[in-house]
Amino acid sequence: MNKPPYRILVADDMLSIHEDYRKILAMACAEEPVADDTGFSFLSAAQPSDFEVESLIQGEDALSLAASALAEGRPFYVAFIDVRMPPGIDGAETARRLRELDSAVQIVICTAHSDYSLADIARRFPESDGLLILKKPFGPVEVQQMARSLSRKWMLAEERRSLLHDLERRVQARTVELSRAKVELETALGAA
Amino acid sequence: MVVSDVWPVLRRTAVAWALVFGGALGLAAALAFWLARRFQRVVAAPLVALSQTAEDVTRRGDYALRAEISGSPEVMALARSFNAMLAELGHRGDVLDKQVVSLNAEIRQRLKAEEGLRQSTREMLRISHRAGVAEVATGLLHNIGNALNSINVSAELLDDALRGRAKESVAKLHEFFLRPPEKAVAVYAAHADGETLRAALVAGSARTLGDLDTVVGEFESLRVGVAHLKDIVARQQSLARAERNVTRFDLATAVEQALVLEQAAGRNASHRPQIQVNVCGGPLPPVCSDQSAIEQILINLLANAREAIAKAAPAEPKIWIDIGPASATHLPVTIRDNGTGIPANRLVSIFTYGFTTKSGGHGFGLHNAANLARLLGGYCACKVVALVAAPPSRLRSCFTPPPPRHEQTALPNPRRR
Repeated sequence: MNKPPYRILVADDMLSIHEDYRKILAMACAEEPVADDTGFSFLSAAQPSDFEVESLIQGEDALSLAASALAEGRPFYVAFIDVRMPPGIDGAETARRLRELDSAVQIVICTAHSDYSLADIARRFPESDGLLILKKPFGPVEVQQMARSLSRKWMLAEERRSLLHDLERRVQARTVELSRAKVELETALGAA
Repeated sequence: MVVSDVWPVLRRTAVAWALVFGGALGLAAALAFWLARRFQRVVAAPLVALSQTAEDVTRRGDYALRAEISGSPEVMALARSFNAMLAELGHRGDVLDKQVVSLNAEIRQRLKAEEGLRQSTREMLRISHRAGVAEVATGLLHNIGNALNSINVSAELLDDALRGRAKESVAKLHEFFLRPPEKAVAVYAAHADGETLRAALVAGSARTLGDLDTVVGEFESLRVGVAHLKDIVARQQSLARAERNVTRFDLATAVEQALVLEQAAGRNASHRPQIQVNVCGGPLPPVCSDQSAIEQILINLLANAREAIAKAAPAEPKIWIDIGPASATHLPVTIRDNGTGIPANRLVSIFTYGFTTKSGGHGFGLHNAANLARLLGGYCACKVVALVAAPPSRLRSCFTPPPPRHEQTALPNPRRR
């Protein structure tokens, strides 16, 4: 499950910005061409992108998409949310409600100016290790790096969760086994 | 004989009766005199004194006077009542005086409060105007930021496509075909049937074509982004041509308002010039223009006059404001002061940006006034008049702010109204 494509959610009132994210993330692929002896590996066909982007122009729409994706077991790893999205709820509110909905999703607040000061935004997310701030105008590389490292972070957290879960399951199985052995042993001793 | 005896008897009797009558009359007269004197003392004199007191009170308006209490009990009662009435009148007068004083104070306070209210209203208007400007600016930044974002992304993608992949591919293909044919054949032959290499070349050139498509697409999106920016700026410029809030108002009121605001601003100025406002050429027609802009012009010119006075420190600092006379199209306001004058050779430059006679001045005030005046269809001009009593170097400056153009449409000719 935790292999690319990483699922990215974009909420921004400008369609041109959706296009920007799409272009930036489409060209982001591991792109490690297999070496061959002709020296023409560079000519191999473009790799598919590591990212799968879904974009919406309103905060509420983004929230309902995130909820249904979570219900279907295809959660988003990273959400890029614009601060200003008239006429609906703003980015800070969208981020807050998204965090309530899905505690694992990594959030990037994107801002072109200061409706809120950045300090205000940070204050609204006291545990802000799942929240980054991206200033517009942004460049491809910073978006790619944010998307990639936050996706990895999401995956590591997920991995840790499943490992813990697995460990717990195994400990439980082991415990059952041990207690059964103990009972058997006691029975055997009693019989003797 | 009997008759002759009768006469003496008769005479005696008559004399006796005459004496009796005379005595009775004298007694009556004395009694009457005594009675009259007593009446005079007990009744008439106190009444006269009372009426005299009443007259004094009326004449002097002094309710502290009191009538003397004397005479008959009735008169004394009358005088006492009169005094009581005076005391009551005096008391009521005092109360009234106090009420008048407090009423005056209240009226003054209300006037002050009204003035404060007017100023706060204006301040509110200014603030809400600024808030509106801030809102517009925020929206503008948002739009520009987004447009810049797309432009930035396109530029970086272009850079990447052109400088990175596309160039590398073409260069390597170029290098391959530059090899001597036999070497190329050797590379070709290294593959089982050459098909792999052919496929790689086809895929590679297709990819290069794809990269070129990207380049073309990004150039287009750059162009769109720049056009969008231009559009935003153009729209903003059309907004910046400012909708003026044109109303009908009395220019004298605007002058008063400007004086109040300017005085509030220069409250701490050490030189408080006497200010004289004259209306010239009969009653002023109402003006149709942007009142707050006109007031801003006047405030700037007044501030300039005040500064000129502070610099020259004349014995009797004074500013003259002449409103009118109205022409068919303009209503001039002339502001004169007896501060430092303007040298004749600086008359033209005075309203340009950067002109200042102050060491710390930035030269924006008069320039701003002239710009505003031009926007309203007026102008600012400056005349120099030599003061008769002053040495020739001391000149008097005189500003003529524009007021209000009266166009056929928005700003009609005042005389037609």
